[in-house]
Amino acid sequence: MNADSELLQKICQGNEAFFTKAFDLYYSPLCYFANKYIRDLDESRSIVQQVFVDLWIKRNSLQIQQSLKGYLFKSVQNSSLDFLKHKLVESRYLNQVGPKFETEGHDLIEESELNAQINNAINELPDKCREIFILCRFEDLRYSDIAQKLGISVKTVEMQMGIALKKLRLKLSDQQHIHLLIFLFSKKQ
Amino acid sequence: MEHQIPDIYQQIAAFLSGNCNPVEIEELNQWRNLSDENRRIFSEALKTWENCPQPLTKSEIELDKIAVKDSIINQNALQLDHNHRLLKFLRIAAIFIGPVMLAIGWYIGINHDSKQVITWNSVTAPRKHIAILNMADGTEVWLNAESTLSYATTDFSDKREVKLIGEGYFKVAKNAGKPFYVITKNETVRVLGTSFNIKAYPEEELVTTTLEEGSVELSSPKQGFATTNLKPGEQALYQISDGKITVGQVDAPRFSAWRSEKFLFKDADLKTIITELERLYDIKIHIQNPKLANLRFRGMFSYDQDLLDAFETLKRSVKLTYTIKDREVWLE
Repeated sequence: MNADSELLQKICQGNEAFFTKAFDLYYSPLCYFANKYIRDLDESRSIVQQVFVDLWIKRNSLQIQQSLKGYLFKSVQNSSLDFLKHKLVESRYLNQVGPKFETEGHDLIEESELNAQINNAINELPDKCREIFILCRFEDLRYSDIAQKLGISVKTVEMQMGIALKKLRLKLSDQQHIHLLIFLFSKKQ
Repeated sequence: MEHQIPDIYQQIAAFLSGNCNPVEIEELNQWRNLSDENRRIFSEALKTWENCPQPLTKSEIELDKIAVKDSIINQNALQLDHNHRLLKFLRIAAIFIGPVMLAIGWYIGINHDSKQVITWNSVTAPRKHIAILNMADGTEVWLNAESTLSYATTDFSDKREVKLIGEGYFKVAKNAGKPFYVITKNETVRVLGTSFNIKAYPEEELVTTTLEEGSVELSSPKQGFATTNLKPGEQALYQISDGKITVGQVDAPRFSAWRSEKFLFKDADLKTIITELERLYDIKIHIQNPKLANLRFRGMFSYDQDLLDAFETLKRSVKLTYTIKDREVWLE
């Protein structure tokens, strides 16, 4: 029996520990998956939370033919599309999110799993290193801005950025996901 | 090869984040073209950079996990509380039914007096809500959740007699000539004009009568109708099993705090609290750890709070954990 089907079976039996395991395993990739549609991570998080709540509440009556993973991604996709439809009705800008609907769900799943892995790796960086990396990558601050903001030298920022990038790349390379990255990157172009 | 430029990752990171000057960019380019391995390192780093998602911290994930579990408990509690709207309506209805029925009773009384038809009216407060009745003689009655008050509409004005199942607070209108009687299954309280609380739920082993002001007289068949008088601030505990009455001093208003739809407890043992919770939420509570039963709790919660809030209130007094499944709760 593989891990996924064991999770599913135990959850249906009402085993909370396995429900928690499933959450730990799938929560962040599901959030990134929802975010591909929603483009708002906070909104995505609440959608995924509701999917987990429903999973537990309806555990007795669930008829899951596929894997738990497949079921969760499908549920999140449905909820995300419902959310967007609702938004569309509200805003009436149908064409704004139109093209995203056609994107193949499967690629998006792999991409979101990858996002979750990188996020994990970022979370495992030493505190200072992570802080600097996040400021640089997500807040578009220049090294000198970061140095000033944190009261450290530009050289330290440079060094920490180097450490961060090396750790992230090696981590993912170890996990043999880099081929996927390259694959995704070439597809994007 | 990786180290032909010292700290190559620093250089790549600077490049990716737009912190390289043209000279450095050219240097990096040259390094990249030196070997396939260098090219691979560079492209992997680039793809890592490109695929960095918006951060989701460990603590955010943990908080979300707690939110999911909370909302599961809440949804379970919600199912227990699904007819809340109906209850609201019933509660309002209960307030109006009393006087309306009295009026109807009075009308029937006038018209059928000669035939001696006795019509009974009863009012029940729904779960988690109280009902307030204004009786024809000016007496006000607060009924606690799931309590029923019945009276003969035909001759209430003559006899001032009500039957109570559950808990009620009475502000009896003074009428020296006509005593007011509250009859419970085991005990009768005779009143002239006073405020008092009486608690006589069928599932409990005690009938508790607490006097706030005035005076009341208790009697019970088991005592051969011998009377016990209460002074303000006194409370009589009537043991149903042997008919024994014990009188003690208490903080009387605390025992009628439920009138504001609040459950107040101070140094109460868990068993007392559980009995209230079971009645309010229609659940069954099991105490897993016998030591818990002897601990004393203090706190307050309103009837409109959900089950979860109630247990959180308990947790403030004593460290305990609770597991909720359907309509059953286990405390440890």
